Amino acid sequence: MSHGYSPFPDHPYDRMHSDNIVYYGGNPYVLNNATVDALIEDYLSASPAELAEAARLVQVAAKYNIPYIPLFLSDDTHAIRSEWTNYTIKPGGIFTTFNPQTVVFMTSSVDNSLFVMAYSSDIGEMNPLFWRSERSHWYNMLVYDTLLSFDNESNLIPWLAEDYAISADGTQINFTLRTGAQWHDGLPVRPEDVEFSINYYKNGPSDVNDWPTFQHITSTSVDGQVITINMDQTMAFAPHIFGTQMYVLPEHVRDDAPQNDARWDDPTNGTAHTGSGPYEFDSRDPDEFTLVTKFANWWGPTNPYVGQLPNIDAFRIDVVIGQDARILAMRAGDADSERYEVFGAYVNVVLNAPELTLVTGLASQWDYVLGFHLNVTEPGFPGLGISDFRVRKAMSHAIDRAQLVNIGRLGHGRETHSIIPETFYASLYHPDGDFWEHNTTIANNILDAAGYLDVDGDGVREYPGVVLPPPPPNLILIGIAGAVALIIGIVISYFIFRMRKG
Amino acid sequence: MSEKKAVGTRQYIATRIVQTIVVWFGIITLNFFIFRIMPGDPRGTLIAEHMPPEVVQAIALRFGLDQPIAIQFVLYIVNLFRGDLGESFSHYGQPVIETIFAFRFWNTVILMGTSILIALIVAIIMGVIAASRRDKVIDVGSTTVFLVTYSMPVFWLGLMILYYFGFILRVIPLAGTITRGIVHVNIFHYIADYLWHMTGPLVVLTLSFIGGFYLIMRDSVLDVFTQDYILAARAKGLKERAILYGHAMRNAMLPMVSVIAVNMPFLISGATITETVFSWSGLGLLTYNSDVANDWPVLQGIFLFLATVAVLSNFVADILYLYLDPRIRY
Amino acid sequence: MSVLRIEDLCTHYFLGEDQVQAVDNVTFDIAESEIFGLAGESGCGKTTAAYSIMRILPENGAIVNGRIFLDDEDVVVKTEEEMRQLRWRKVSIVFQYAMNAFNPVLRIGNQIVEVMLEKQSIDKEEATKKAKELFDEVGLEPERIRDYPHEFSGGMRQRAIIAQALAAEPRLIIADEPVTALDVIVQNKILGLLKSLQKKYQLAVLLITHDLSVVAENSDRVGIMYAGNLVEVGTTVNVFKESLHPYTYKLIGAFPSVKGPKRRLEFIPGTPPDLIRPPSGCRFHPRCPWAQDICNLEVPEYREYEKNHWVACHFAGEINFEVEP
Repeated sequence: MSHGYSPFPDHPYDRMHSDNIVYYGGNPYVLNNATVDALIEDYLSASPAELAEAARLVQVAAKYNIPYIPLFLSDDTHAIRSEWTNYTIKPGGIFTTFNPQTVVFMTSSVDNSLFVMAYSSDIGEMNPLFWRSERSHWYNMLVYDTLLSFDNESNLIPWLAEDYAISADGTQINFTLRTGAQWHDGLPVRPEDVEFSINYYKNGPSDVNDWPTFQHITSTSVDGQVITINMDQTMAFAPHIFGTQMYVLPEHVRDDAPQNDARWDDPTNGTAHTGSGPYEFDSRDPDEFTLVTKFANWWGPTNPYVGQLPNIDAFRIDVVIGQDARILAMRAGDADSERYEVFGAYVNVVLNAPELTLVTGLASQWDYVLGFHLNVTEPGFPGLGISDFRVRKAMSHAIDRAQLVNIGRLGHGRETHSIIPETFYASLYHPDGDFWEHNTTIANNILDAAGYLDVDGDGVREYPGVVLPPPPPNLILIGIAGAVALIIGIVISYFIFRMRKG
Repeated sequence: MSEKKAVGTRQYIATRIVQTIVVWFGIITLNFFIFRIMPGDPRGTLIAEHMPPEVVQAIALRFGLDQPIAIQFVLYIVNLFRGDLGESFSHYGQPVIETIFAFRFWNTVILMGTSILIALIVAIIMGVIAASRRDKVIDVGSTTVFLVTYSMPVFWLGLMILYYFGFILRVIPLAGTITRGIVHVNIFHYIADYLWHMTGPLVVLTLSFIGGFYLIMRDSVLDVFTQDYILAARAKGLKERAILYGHAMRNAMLPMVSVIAVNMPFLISGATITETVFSWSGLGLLTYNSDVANDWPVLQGIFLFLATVAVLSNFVADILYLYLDPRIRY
Repeated sequence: MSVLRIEDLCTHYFLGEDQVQAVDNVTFDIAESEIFGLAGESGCGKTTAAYSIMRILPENGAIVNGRIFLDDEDVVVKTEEEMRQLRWRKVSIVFQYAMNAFNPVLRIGNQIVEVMLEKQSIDKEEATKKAKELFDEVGLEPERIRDYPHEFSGGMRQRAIIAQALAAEPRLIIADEPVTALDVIVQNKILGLLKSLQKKYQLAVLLITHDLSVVAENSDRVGIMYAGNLVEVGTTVNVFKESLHPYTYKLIGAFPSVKGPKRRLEFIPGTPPDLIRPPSGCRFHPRCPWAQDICNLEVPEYREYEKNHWVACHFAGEINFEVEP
């Protein structure tokens, strides 16, 4: 299975907590273990001071319960026209939704007037409250601002907010809005807009992104440029969610229509897409293109983490379906890069194209894991098989990750040994949670000791307690016996017959 | 006698209408359950890209996916008759009707309609010519050429055209139905741009259709040529053209009506592969994308529409035969 | 002056390397308003001769020798276009299989009107009127010209075919087995119709049939064909009562006679020859009981044995048919 990592590690809840035992699609492979559940809950509600230890405990819990086995992160093998430089190298890749820096800093040695991003399928929705794919999310990031962003080590940094603070118990978060920021229509971004946005998310329908987190907000207030959020409980990643997942929206545009109004997805309604982001919405033809142009009054120059306006005058998202067509479009100059990385044999196609550069040596946000369906058991063998921790541990020992990366990604990837891998989350990773080393001898020993033996010698182990069935009866012997009985029967009948006659 | 025929015909048409409606009902039922018995779950796809499970639950609630299947079915039927096919999962909040008909339907109909029409005209003309010059250069030549185009994989042909004409020669665009990012001066500019973008997929589709049509037509004409009435027409000293087009073609066209009827759903469903290769935003591409995204409402909508077109076009073909072939009577 | 005159006609079919000599050295003529019966077994070349006259042979068939005069115009040398214009105007044909001779998807009337428009300078209305008259003439209800072929019975269709043959007022009608597919009662009606029309319009008719009784009752003169050759031509009385050719004699003997004393039907031993490699000399000699050496060696001359009685046999008039050697 593969997943996408977000820039903050809240995924243990999705992947390990018994709340997420669901019997359809998505996430069938979570544990049903109260201790682990409690550790995850502690982790997600840890105050800033407790967070590192809570993360360590969750990683260790994963090592000793194995809800799934982390395998590797693919590399962000992005194809991009060679004239582009200065994109920001961050865990996750150069074009993630949590990497607005690339968009701002990237520059061309030829022409900065337009950057075309080829999409394999169109943006599904334009409304930033309801993005349902990273494609839509990436467009949202161009047009709208978040209060905070991430630096190259996944630490929070000021973005539209110039500062933020968290109370010691973690239940109160203060954001200080930057002065002088403007909406695309020229009106100032006010702290009231931020407060409006928070409540707009909170009061929206339940399928607004991150809606459950917003429900923990008890009150909001504005004091000068400072917006205060009070919550009913500590949430370890609340600053990340409010700061980096929530887009700040203009009250004067949004307040007269519900969160899911059709106008927010209407490409002909320019006003509806007013944000404060580095680019403003220009035009869009569904399934063809979406064009955004540089916002000349963006606040970037006033933020020391940015310090400039974007170099590129306009971004255009073009829909080019096939991978072959996208590579041709990039080579022809019709497109400059594509939304997702190239895979498999196309990696070599890109490497051989003189016009293109392949970004390598950088982990993407896509991680691959070996998941188990822990909610099924073999009839007659409860608690055995995949449900048996010893089996999962043996599998964990048996996996050769280097080989998987070679086969699965032609070497373009990096092994992961922890459920919070160091590559992605350096600050919360802990080596205590590293998974079992690759050693097939140990793996076999574990299975032998647990009684999973290859009873019938066919190369596949049987469940413990399975014994060899009795050997099949000898057909030749039965045949001979039957034939003898038949002959005897005929002889006897013959004599009886003769006696009667006689 | 013709009175009797009229009564029989009316009865036949009535029976066919009833049949069509029954079949259509069968299809809408199947159309609902086929998605529910397929493996995979739309919610699974919705959370694939970092989507918290609470949101997934909320989405399930919104689309009524938490309801028992019987309730879902009743809702589906009731909404169907209110003209409501639901909302797309992947085009968030967009009614399915809009997803299908806003522009994708037209893109497909224009592309497929043009290519099927061109293919039919060329195939019919070439089929008649080839049959009337049987075993001559033009017959052997065109049969060979059309057999080759017929058996060429569509995606390969598309990619070759894209590579040589789009990339190397730069005479056709690489993607889309219009030039991206430009504002069209007027409607003619738009049409010209649209047609230019249509060139690639049109050529591919026309080539892929023409072979089958041509072979059927040629065969059909050859068959007609052995009929006595063609000899009679020749003995009557009619002009060769009158024989070919007045006598041979009309009869040879009869099987083509079935061929066209069978191809009607294709006209709607589009050629997924060609649309994908050329990024032509039509229903074929929508089907593909919706399938990848487990977008049930859209798939259901497309299939329903397709099935309706298939059932209707077969019905129309049957009725058409009544008038095209006077021998048919019921 | 004869309406049709055929001289030394040779029509062959080409089958790869081989040539089927379907019609070989056939000579005869038909006078104005004369019914000429052409009889012989199936495959003897009757229909090929008829198709040669109209030049509607299949692609692999060709007139390799001889001349065909229609009103003193040689059709053999005509271009395809000249020939096309001549068809139906000078000569029309009543096909063997009336069942299929009409296009099933076109109205019968239209098919008749179509040929009138092509062959005569009249407008559609007039042609339709004329077609109705013709229908009336052949004993069909005029309003039924709007019917499709499948709505007609076999006999009705044959009448319609005859109406069509008259459409362009030809001088010669070729009737190729016109009644073969019909039952006996309808046969007589159709033949009666044909005869009355022939009288009325002073038509020449080439009546092709394998049925000798049809020929005997309807023809003024008769030609007998065997294996692509015309073996005997003469008045009906001459040919039937005073047969000169052994084949004619045997053929007549093989037919049941309605009148006259009952007798055992005779049959001709052997089979018709392979026309790719026909027998040398007289083609009938392998089956002829009176054959002599010369019959194997020399092709008998087609000669006028007595006035208007032609025959191709070395021993014409010398054989006593009552006695077989």
